[in-house]
Amino acid sequence: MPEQQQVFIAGGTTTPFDYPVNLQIEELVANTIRQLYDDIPNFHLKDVREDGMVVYSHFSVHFAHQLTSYWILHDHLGLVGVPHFRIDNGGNTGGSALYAAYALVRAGLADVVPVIGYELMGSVSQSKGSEFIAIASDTRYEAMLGANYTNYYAGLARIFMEEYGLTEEDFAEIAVKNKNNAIATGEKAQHYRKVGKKLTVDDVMGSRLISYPLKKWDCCFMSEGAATILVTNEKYAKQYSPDHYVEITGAGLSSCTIRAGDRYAFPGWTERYGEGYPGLGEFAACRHSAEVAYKMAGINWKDSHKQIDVAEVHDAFSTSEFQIYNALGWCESTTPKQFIRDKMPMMDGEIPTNPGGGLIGYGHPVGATGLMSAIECYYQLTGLVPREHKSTDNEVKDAEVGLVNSHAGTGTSISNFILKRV
Amino acid sequence: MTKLHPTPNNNDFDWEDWKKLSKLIPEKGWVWQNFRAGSAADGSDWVEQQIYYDMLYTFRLGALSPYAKGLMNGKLMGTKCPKCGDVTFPPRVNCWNLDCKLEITDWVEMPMTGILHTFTICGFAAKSALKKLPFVLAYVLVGESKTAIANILKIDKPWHTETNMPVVVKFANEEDRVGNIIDFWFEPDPEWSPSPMNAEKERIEKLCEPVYEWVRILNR
Repeated sequence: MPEQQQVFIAGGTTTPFDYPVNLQIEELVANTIRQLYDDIPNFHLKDVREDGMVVYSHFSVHFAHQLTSYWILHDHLGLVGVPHFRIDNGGNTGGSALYAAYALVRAGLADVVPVIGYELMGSVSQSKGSEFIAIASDTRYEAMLGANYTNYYAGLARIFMEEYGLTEEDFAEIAVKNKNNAIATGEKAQHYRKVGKKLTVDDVMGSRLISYPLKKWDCCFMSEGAATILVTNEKYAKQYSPDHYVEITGAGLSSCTIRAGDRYAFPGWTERYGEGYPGLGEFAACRHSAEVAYKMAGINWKDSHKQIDVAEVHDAFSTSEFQIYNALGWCESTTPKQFIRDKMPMMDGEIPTNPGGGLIGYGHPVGATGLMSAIECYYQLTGLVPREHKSTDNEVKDAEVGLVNSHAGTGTSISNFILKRV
Repeated sequence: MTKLHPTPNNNDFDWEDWKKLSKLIPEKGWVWQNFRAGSAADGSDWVEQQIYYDMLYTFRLGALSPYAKGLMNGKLMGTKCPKCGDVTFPPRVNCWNLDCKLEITDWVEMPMTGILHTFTICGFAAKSALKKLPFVLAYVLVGESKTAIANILKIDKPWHTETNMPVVVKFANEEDRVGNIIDFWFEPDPEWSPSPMNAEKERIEKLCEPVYEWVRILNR
């Protein structure tokens, strides 16, 4: 019988995120694996053939103009006989694929699991792309309204704003932080590639209205790209990256309603957290999955922002990053308003968040996104930022504990992981 | 015997009529369209090929059909659990309360009034809705429903939208109704009047100006 084992991340790499990238999925993914061969001389796909499985992380068959597009990839990588499957869980596809790999290694069913994420969103027009994403809402009720996800998120943000007395400028601070962090991340980050300069709060405030309170620069953009992360047991972690590996000490995955309006008074939440939570302004699935991950990793809810040194979270919108701070318990000993005004998530704050740029700065090719977040966190914890970013501007020095967050729907599926430097 | 949602006998289903209806919108399938090719600055070749693909979906509403028929009759049909009494709109044809073990819910007619819980003023939206910009997307608690429903709030000056404002349900003319959520929308309760302009409302009004201008150009 397989035995339970500890789970580690031994390496990871992303392609540049851009729109479009003018490559096919197999070339993108081959690039990530060849880069891993370069970074980790002891790594070999034959190990995966003997002791592993591959988890593919891919959101939309519509974007791929192909069902089971990972069959093309697996074949292209020279893998036959190796078990493979694909995870789709909306925006939390990457986090969920990482969770699946974690579960496989934890259970002892596999010892080395590359998680391969990709999305080519430029195969259709931008408006068609938004429509594809919008059909992850309940098409019988929501898609026909002519709204898309940005509009739904804006609605959730507006009540959050009112509940906590926040302003558009508070959100703009987050957008600016992530865009500017991406400048230090360099040529792989979409904001660096497309815009290439730092932005100000005034830039955000003066940008075009998308859906109040969101303006253009509060939002992530359509992206293309791929990412591969190596999830292994302890033996392979030491063999591959003796000086650069982290342990996944906590993993939580939770769910919420597909239609945001249905979580207003859902029995499953009121029984757990009492009446009035989450309403429409809070991400209960984020809170719940964080509670699970924190408990596994020995992190106290109230002190979580002190016990975590660096975080990469799912900032599809500046507003949702703010709602995530609250759902992760970071505002427990203060208020959301004070949390941002004390600059806690900034590079020199208590808990630097999205130093890699996040979705707003780095990009959001859905299937690759959560893996990018995990890889950026892994770089921070293993001292690889100078090598990977060719800059130390967004390095969190001596970080030991990191959080990775991946987020789907209107908060419909959310995962949180705690990574610890070994 | 456990009550289940009935599976209608397929003999009742008129395939010939369905085929006729489906043929009104012919599908083309995978069809070659265009290509373009060139070389990038680094000398590498690139080729793009465009292929058109379409599909006509049939949504079969099954147990949810009374909701759609209600819309055609100008009524909002919600559901109520006979065990726990929870009312929801949009309807849930099995109860959401785990203790009710997926009890099949009863249909109840909802009142035509609600309270706006939260909203956004859309300055950009899906392609089909661009010419309606800027419009308000609102989450509204209709009657005693324990869930909020998203729909459009029609209001002259979008920046006057306020949380907790009372709203009323308005239906399209009978001949225009199709049994879908687009059959109805919300409007401010005629008794309600907005609070005076404030900093947020002025800001939203300003953000909307270029959107009106953009839509004017779009409509030309």
